Amino acid sequence: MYQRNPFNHKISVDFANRLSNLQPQQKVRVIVFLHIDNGKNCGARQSPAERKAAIESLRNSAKHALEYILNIIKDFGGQPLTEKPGALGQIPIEICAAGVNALAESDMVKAVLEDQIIQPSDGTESSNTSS
Amino acid sequence: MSIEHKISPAFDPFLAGLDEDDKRDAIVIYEAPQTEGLPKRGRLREVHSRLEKSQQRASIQKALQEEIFDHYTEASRDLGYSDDPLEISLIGSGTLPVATVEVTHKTLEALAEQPHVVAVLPNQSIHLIQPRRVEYADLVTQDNSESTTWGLNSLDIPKLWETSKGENVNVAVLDTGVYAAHPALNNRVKDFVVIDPLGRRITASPPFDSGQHGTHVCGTIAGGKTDKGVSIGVAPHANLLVAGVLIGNTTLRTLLEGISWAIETGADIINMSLGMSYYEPLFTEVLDILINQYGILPVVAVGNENHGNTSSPGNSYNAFSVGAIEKLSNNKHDVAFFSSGASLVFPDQEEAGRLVTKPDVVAPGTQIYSCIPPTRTPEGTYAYNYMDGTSMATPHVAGVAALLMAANPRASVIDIIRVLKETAKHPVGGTRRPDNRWGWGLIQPLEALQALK
Repeated sequence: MYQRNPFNHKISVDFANRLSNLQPQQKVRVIVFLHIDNGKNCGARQSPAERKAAIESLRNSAKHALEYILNIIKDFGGQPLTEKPGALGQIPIEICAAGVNALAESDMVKAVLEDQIIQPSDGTESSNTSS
Repeated sequence: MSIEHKISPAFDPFLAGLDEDDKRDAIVIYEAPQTEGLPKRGRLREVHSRLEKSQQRASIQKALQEEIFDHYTEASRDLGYSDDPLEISLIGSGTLPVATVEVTHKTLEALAEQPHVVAVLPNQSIHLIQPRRVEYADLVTQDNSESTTWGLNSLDIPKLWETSKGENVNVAVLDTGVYAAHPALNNRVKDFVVIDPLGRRITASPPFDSGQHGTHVCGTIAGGKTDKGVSIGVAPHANLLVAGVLIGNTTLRTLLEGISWAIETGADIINMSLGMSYYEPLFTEVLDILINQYGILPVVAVGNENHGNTSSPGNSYNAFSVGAIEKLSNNKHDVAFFSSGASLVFPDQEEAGRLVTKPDVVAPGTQIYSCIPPTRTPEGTYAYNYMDGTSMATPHVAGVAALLMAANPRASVIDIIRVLKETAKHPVGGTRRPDNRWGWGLIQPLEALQALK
């Protein structure tokens, strides 16, 4: 069984437990949040130009971090599922359970999240429609 | 523990009106014997071990039970029940330290005063929680007479419209899609995309809703008036950017692609009336980037799992999470039974105070009237309906945030969150907040607007 690192705060406890039940070579889909080094804007609303610049800056920073972890991904038989990181500095990756921990140990990775299912917050119809 | 504290106050109504010798069933809970820690759940060997320990526990408890029962039988005999003794029966196999015991007004204290007894509860009937019947005719009449839904009315939204209607604020809605051709959403949907389960962006025209949820949420944020003149939307001039991220079996990747699209499309606010399958504290990374890198306000439903529970991402320490209130018959409000709320510990978050209480605020979230895609039923075709859920409370807050942003374009997201929390109204005042039902309280948009100035 795959052994998780209990001191690693880059993987949630739930996900780490699920990983520990996988065989080392069993593949999972994860979202890797890459290290970004641009400054914070303290929540100020952005103009379209400022937004564009912020996206560009964050993506460049994330791309740089991605280059550092490509070898880890390759070594563990994984592959990125998109060509470049998204506007959150995230990239979806398919990789084996052992590779997830290796990624989390890299300084270029902020967090690794399981690509888990999402659903509406179950807004229930209380009937009585009207035209 | 005193005898009074061992006897449940529920006995007052339970025994009310009975003669002093009338018998009723009570549940007695007694001390559980101390045993070594139980093994972990899961593996077969551990299941066997757990079973053995449970059997050991049951045998120790049996001796304790017999002692309690003997003393109670003796005491009840002294109180005059020797010819017609009070019945005592075990519950289950003895793995839990509980039993059913007949009591009367006279014997209740005799049972509670035994040192090994922890609590005595009435064996009251239990029932399914049935959906309450809602008098929709009254709601429709009231909404029509006030020309706004009860949600907008209770937040004094029409007064805010004298200052702002959400002009030039982009609210992204990540949901089941939107039926943009609805008359109540006329010209409000400025962009639409479908994110498929593989995270691909699919341009679809005209915009559509795979259910009703997304259109209903959009109507509460930026809907106009119904054909009967009832206003349904909080910020009727705000722009809607809608991503269908809940179409098919979608995952976190789909949601994050939707968020990326919203960032790139110019969102100022993102409404997320959605949840994940299990707890994901690391979603804080996403919210941190939205707030601090892009100045976007994420408004997230706290979930419909009742008091004591929450769902991700609404339970992230930095989520602005929303619970639901309902309108009571006396024109008061209370938190809806389904609305989630709990406190979570984030040991690494010194700044957030380690213990984080959710929800942050509450807003109207039951019997919310809004638009839906035209729906055919045997009775006719419908374009509006009522829905319940924190999904419905969240767009009220997103809409209010749009009004505040439009009125104060330079206000930061952090300031908007702060004023909405600080001005929120808790029924017992400021000393008890935040709590797990009301959070900081019911938002007060007019006061928040003043505070922002």
